[in-house]
Amino acid sequence: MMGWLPQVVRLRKIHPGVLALRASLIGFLLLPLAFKGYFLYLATEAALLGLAAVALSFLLGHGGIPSLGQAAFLGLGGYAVGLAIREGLPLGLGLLLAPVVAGAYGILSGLFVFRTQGIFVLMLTLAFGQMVYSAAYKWTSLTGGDDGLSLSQLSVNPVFLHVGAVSALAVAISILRYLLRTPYGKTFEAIRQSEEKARSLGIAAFWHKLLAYTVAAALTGLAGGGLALHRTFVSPHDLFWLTSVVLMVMVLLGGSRGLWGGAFGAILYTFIQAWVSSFTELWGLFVGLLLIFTVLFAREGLWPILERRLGGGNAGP
Amino acid sequence: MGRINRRQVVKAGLGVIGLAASSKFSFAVAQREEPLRIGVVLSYSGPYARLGQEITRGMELYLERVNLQAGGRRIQLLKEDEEADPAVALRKVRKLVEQDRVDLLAGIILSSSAYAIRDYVNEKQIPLIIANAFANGITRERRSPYIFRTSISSWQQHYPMGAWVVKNIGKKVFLLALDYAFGKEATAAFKESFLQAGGEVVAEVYSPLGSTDYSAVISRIAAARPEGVHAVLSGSDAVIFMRQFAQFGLNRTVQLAVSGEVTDETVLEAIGEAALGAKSGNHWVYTLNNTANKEFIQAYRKKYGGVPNHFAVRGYDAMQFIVNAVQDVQGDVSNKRKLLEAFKRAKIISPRGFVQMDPETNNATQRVYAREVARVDGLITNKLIADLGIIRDPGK
Amino acid sequence: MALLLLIQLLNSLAFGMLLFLLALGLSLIFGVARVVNLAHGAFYLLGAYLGLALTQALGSFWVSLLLVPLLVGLLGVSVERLLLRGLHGRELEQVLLTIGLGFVLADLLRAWFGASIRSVPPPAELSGPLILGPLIYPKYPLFVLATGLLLFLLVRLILARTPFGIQVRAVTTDPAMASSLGIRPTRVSLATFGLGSALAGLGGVVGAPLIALAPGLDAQMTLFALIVVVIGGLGRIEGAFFGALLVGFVDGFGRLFFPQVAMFLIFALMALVLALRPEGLLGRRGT
Repeated sequence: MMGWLPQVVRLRKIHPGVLALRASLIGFLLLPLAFKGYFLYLATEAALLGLAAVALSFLLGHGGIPSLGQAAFLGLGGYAVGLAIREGLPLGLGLLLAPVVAGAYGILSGLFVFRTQGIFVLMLTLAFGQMVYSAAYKWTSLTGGDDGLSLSQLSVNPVFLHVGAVSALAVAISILRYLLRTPYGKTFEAIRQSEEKARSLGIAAFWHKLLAYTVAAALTGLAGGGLALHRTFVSPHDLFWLTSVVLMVMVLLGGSRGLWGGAFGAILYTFIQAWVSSFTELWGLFVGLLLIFTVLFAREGLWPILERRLGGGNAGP
Repeated sequence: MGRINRRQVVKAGLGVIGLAASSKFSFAVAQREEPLRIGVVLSYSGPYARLGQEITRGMELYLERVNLQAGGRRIQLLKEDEEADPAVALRKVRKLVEQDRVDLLAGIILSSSAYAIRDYVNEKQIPLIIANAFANGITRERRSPYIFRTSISSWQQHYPMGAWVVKNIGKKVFLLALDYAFGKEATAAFKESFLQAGGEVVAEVYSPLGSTDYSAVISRIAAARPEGVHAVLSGSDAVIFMRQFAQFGLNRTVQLAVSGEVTDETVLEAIGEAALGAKSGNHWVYTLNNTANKEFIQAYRKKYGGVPNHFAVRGYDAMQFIVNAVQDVQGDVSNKRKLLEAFKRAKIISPRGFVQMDPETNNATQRVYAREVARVDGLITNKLIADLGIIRDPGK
Repeated sequence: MALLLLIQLLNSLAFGMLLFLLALGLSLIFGVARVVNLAHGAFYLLGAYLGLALTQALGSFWVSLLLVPLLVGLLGVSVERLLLRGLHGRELEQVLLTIGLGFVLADLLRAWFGASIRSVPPPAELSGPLILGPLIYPKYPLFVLATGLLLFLLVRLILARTPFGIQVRAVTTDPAMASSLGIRPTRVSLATFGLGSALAGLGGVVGAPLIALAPGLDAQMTLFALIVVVIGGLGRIEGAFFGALLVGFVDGFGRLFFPQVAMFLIFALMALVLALRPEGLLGRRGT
């Protein structure tokens, strides 16, 4: 929660309209506590996926790193929690292991990924993501394979879980935004804008990107751990690259810069998807159209448009 | 597309009724005027899509017989797709219970989905009638007072074949099965009696559910030259395997003595003559000579055309169990204790013969038959060759 | 054992050739248009379902074999013209657009043809086994093998000898230089997109009797095509050919001997090549 401190100090610099908008996003996520049931279930899912989306938005929008392998971190976090519980370890330890395991894979894969640039980063993250998927799918003795891992013996109070998820989301946003304001963050953005220039200034782009990637991986891992508790089930299908695409859709839809956009995109996507899938099985069609629409007409995403409307012009990150 | 329309109608009706139903004070009278909502979770996409369609057909066929009424209440089916993913099944069950507030759950094709939803269903105390999933554990170590299986367990359907195969096919058999709970349990059950009777396992191979190509396994079978193959496959995997088996010409040199799921009529429809002569073990055969079966076949052919199959029978029987139990409690499903008792005592005259719920395990006790793919009445289907007796799942 | 190896070799080669058909299109599209077409698998699926429908409607596998690639190629051309043209130069957005397109196409196919897995019978002439002494092997995979080889030789010829082929090679190697020589990259790009999509469609028709049709197959085939192109080398047809053979072997023998790690190995191989030699094993530096 330390991240809030500098935020509070800078309150004066943020337009009240934008502040209200951000507060209402958090508020919306807390609203289901009054209703419980399926609405709460969806909201928790949105908050947790929002955490993963925010991490991706940090990578993509601010670092220019197009990762199509985030599903792997989600899955690693989920299996970490699942296996920890299966082995009888305390829940807290499991939730600690989730970001650690995911972060470790982030470092490991990052060492390879950042040797390349641009479109190759996309393909390489995809490959690394699929490696985790195939391991989860085939290593049946560890993961249960296609049958999945059931956590139903552990019952977590849905209200606690939800409050925890929303808090984690809020904290992550503030920490990442703080990070972006530090010299490291500024350098990170500079690398996105022009890597050649940054290198010519003597900046070690590789390590900056690797650090960001690891942080994002750890946050996504934590989200994955939360999802495992929330769904009481971990399945290898959730690690297929389509999940990574969905995260990307959330980020693009909401807005890849500013981090709040990622959370917004996650909420939007989760609820619309639940609504659409209740009357048709063709939600892939819906996701595809959404993606095409976003790429062609709303490249910045929807959140920045909202912020501009309410913030009266200049609502920077 | 008709399914979507039906669901929209159901949803509209739900919207109106949902308000009334969510009231905590449901008087018996008020309840009797409300439809009985049954959440049906089956595969409507993926490798088992056809199975989901057929089980649904069987359910609706039976409901037609009773005019969609049971215990004075109208029956409404709310269908959800479990795909072939236990995580999805859990999510859909959750939605049906918490958002749609169903009174009962029915269906579940995938064994791993049954395991995945078991704890949730038990905790929420919603009766679940398993119309397909073979998972042994669901009526053994993981049984629940709320879960009843009206189909058959992996052990029940595959254990009797082991000894029969040694006597009638040969001693050297190649084992192939799907790589998840169903395939593994069925193979273990077959092996139990097969090895006991003196059989020899040439090789044991597991392939992932939803495979699109069986050429690797088939080359292994060709190279191993067994006397028989015991395959435990279902849905599209069964179709693809059988087709490629015939393409390799192996249907002429190696005997098939497989799980009933492999020679099911939906598979035969796609494969045709190439499957003639294949033997299998199953709890239903087209040529079973009883009134219930004749009526069922007639009704199915009249409504849907084509050849009925054991999935339709499973759906049909599951609905019969439900309707009988609801009749027993006169439509008042809020009294869970009475409802569960009604299920425990249930017996039905099924196209399969006489089927009875075992009160100790909540699993259906029934006959298993050995059958062979043959031409009957101009159709390619299965004919009965031996009655393997009444099989009761041991529950342990 | 020798027989098993031989049979599995043939299986792998057949699957490899199918992958080649797919990867060839993807490689050409990337080389010329610089687009990683992640809707490629969906084009394959479209080709397969169209092939199924046309064969049933017209009664001839061979006619649909000719018609379907044309239809899918047409779709490819329209996609390039209408959707991708506007995003010229923005690689990430192009890729994302193709992903979206793939989803849309796959779901439309699912809505039209249903969600169950369809096993397609090979045409009667190519049905059943071929018996060569102790070897019994189905005819159809051999047909796929022959088709792949034929196409490899054909496309090689086109690229080497015809004016169109030379333009394609020029734009692939150096678009700036090519345009200064009077070649219109946009024109070539359009035609190549059409050709590439047509090849994917052809792959679909040819592949359906080999690998059953299922929703989700598009994602699998896209992935395979991508792996082949990455390993073999973007923009080079020899790369696609040998890359496809390699992946076919690893998949085929992997599934037989190491079924647990086969999938993992393929992705690990892809990752390794991307990280250490991003232009692919047979590719040239400087994309």
